[in-house]
Amino acid sequence: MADLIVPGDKLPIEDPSTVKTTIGPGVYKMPTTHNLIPCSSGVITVETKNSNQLVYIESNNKRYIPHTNDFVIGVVTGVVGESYKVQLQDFSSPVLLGFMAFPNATKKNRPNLKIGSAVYARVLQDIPEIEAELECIDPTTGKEGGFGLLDESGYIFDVELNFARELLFNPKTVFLQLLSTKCQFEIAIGINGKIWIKCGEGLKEKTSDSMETDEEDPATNIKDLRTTLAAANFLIKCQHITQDKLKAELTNAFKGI
Amino acid sequence: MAFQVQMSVLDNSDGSAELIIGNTKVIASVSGPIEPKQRQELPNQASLEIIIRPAKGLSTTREKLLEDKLRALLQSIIIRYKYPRQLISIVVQFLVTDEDPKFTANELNAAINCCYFALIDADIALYSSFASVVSCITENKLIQNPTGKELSQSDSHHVVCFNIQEGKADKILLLESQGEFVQEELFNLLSESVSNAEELHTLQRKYLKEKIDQDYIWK
Repeated sequence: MADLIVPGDKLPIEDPSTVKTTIGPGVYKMPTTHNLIPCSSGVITVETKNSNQLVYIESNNKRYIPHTNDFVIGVVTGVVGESYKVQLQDFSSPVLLGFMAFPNATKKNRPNLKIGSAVYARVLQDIPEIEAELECIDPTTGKEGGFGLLDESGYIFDVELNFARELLFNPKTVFLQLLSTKCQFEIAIGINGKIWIKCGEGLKEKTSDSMETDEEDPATNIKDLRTTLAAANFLIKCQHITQDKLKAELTNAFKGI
Repeated sequence: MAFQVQMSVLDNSDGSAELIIGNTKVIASVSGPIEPKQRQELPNQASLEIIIRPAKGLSTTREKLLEDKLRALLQSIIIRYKYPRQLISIVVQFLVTDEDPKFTANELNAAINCCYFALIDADIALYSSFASVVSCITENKLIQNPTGKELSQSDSHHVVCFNIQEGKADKILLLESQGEFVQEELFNLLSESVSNAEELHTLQRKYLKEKIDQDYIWK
């Protein structure tokens, strides 16, 4: 692994007063002196391009702090005024999802989310002094764009934030490709360390009138449920193993399915 | 001075570390930034909640004293303006201690060093690294990392915490001294402690490197 940097070290960059510098996570600008310091421990990356430089520190953590344009999965916990209160992680400060932040929403046509339902949304605004805001609209098209309610036939589980970032931002990531060799799935990756996954049709809710009529349905239903859980377990295990063991882990996770 | 540390030992906290230093064993957990209670909320910076639990029995004024000392240190090292209206909760649980209850030096030293790893594990923003060392003076002789027995026989004992800038001990963040000593002895002790703290820091880096390799094992 590349270079380790810890708080208190000197950043290996050109003087920011002469070179235009963009800072990313893990770098802090002291408000009084305007010096740049590393504030977390991790792997430092410095990129120089056309006499501009970009510096950030990649590190792992479990607690998510909202930033603009992040894709997140949250759970609706309540209603305040014209917005839903959404919890992105246990014990984190709640964020707001306005009633108007849905495609085709009007004063009369309100979205219908119940307390406890999960949503996939984008962070609209992240001023730390006030509550962050979400929206369920794709800003380029003004349409739904995959955001909105995540139905209950899927399964939500937690991963570490660095792994969630890898899955979402790295288009060449091997994990999802490998998983697709075993099953068909629909996935929503929240950068707040939550993943929603559904294999096949997922788990269908039993409706009272269809209970006796469908003979074959329970078998495929249970199969989809087992595949979903196996896929989730595989992704959780992936965080702690080296890449050469991935294949063995995959066959192990899908044993007997 | 050798120590052993294991990070991310607790699954449900954001950051945690278990540290064995000398004969003291301690576990620290950090949760944050999380939603504070109304009375804890500060409008422009993060509030700190520090809880220290003793190895046996209930926490007393002695633990409250330790909490205050730890808070004074951590307040100046955490970039609290980065997390306005949030709470950072730190719990320190001692598992094995090696000193008479009337001393706090070894425990304070272990708590400080353990908190460093727990804070890094939780990825809380820090102004700089820090390392703490403990020593005592017995009949004009300086003993580094005293055991509980050596502490009780000493004339004075001291805990010094330095902030580490670019691998070098820079400022004194905390100095706790108790007993009879003269100025010259203290200055001598401080200059001895510098090299010890720097040595401690190189060991800290080694453990942090291992942690990073473990975190990105799937790369």
